[in-house]
Amino acid sequence: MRLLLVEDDPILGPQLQSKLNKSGYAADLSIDGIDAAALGDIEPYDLVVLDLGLPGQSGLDVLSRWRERDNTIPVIILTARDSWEDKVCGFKAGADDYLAKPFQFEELLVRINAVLRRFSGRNTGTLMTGGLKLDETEQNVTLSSGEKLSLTGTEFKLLRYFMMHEGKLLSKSTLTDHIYQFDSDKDSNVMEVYVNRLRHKLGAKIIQTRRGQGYIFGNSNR
Amino acid sequence: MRSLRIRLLVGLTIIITILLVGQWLWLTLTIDRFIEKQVITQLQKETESILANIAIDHKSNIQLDQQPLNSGYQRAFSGLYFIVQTQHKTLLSRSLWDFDLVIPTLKKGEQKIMYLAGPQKQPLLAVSAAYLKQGKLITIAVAEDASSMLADKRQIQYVFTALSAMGLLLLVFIQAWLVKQALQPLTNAQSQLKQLEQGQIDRINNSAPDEIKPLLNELNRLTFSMLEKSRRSRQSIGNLAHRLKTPLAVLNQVAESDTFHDENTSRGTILQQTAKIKQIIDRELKRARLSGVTMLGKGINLEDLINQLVETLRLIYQDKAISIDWHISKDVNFKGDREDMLEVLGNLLDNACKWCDSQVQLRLEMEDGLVITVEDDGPSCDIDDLSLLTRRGFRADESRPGSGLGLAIVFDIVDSYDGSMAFYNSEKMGGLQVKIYL
Repeated sequence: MRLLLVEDDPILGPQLQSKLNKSGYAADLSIDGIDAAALGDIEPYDLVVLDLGLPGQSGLDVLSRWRERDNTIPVIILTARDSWEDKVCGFKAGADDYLAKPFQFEELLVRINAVLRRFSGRNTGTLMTGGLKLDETEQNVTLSSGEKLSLTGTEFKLLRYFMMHEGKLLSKSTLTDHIYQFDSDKDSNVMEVYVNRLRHKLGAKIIQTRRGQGYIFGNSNR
Repeated sequence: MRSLRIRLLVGLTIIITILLVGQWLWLTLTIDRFIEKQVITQLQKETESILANIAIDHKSNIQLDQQPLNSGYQRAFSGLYFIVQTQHKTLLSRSLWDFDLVIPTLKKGEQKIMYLAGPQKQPLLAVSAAYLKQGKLITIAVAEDASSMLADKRQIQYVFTALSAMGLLLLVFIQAWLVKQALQPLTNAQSQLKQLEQGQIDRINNSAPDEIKPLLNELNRLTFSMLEKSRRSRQSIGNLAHRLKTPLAVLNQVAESDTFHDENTSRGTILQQTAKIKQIIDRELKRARLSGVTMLGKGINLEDLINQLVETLRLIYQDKAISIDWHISKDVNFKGDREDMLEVLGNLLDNACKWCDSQVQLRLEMEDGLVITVEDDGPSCDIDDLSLLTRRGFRADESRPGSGLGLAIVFDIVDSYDGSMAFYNSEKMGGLQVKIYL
């Protein structure tokens, strides 16, 4: 899952970014409203965490512009302003959730998961599909046999993306776009390696290859 | 006397009364004397014509030839009388009949005017004069019935007094009207001040006479600077609060970082304290907003506001499938700040949404004032706990974030409107019912 974190505070921004990365998200940090607006239009993010008080362009303006251009990217507003007036304005501008500062990181993770789940058309709660149960806090997976397997960071990110898009055809470049950060070295061949590792751990049939097109996770007839 | 109007009215009325009474006295006396003088002149001429008709013979006897004289002297009690007196003899007009009119003796050249009681109770005005004719001192007195003259005098006095009184009344009314007219700009300013206080206008119209125009200008300037100051201080408090929150968020992140992994107590303390600081900031921020001079709204569109709010809450709680029903009576009328209303309704509904199973109801009705009722179908709770909570901002249930603070903020706002807040267990829905009376 690739996130855009827009936060201009020089300490909070990088801190949140590294925590999000540790929690299995590929998070890019933007510290400026104008940059953020452009990034949100260009890069295929799965979610944006948006501060409102930004240099360049206010977060609310950034959000409104995206919505005007039919960019429906999920947005969680993260702000110090938490009066109802501000909340109503935020949701009216097209926010999907609203979190007031200061917050605990856990709370932010819960909100991010909830919004992502909502957008992938699933219920909130533990991610369960194809006989697998994914624990997002511990970053491990439980098989239908009850066996618990631990996952590396990239394996976790990849499996979660697959599980959230069960039965959908996902190209290698889509996978790279959503699993790696902006500045990482994107080599789509590495994807094959990780897909094979997942097959090795979870069983070969769980991910099917469509030659020249990409991969499908789980039951494609769903 | 506190009222300028009454002070002016009383002062002017006293002056007008003194002037008019003085004028009345002077004029009445002048007219009296004028009428009297006419009669007296007439009588003096009579004495002279009597003198001219007196003849003194060689035996020093006086003879009066009454032929050319006024015939009134011949008719009994005609109202015109004469007495001619010498040292030895007294001649009386026939008209006196048997009445004995006594006149004082005068020295030569003397003249006297007097009122005497005449026959048949006639009031007489008499002129008596002493002349020397052919070496003899003759006193001639002529008297005339003055009753008609006195009646005339009284008549004139009545009419004049009545006219003067009417004039006085008229003048008092006119000056009262003038005073009112002159003070009208002050009355206008007063009613405008009231409107200003109620927030119907944001400045006083300064089209007024030169005397109070500077006052109004100054008031406008003060109002503006006061509003500006309170706006600025509110803004800076707001900025301060919001600026503090990002460092607090940083602190939270630090506490949650791996460095603290083995020190769960310290981490807990930091998280607890940042949460507490946030609560304090939020509550005080909202209080500061309330204590400032708010320009009260010119009526807000409640339907629109609630619509937006409910839409927002539906988005916040979209994972919970809540139905929020709301109803506003047609006569509902709220003259307050839009943001206050939004904060009250937002916190109440948010609380209800948090606790409910699936149903939340909001009603706005008019009784003595505006009554806001919010109820939900969640679990019922301890009413006493809640009443305590509004006073101190404690949470009744620590496991759900923020509920206590929200209600405490609602309480502060309601308090600033001199309203009241009450908690009940909803009979209809089973959960909590909050009623706000504004």
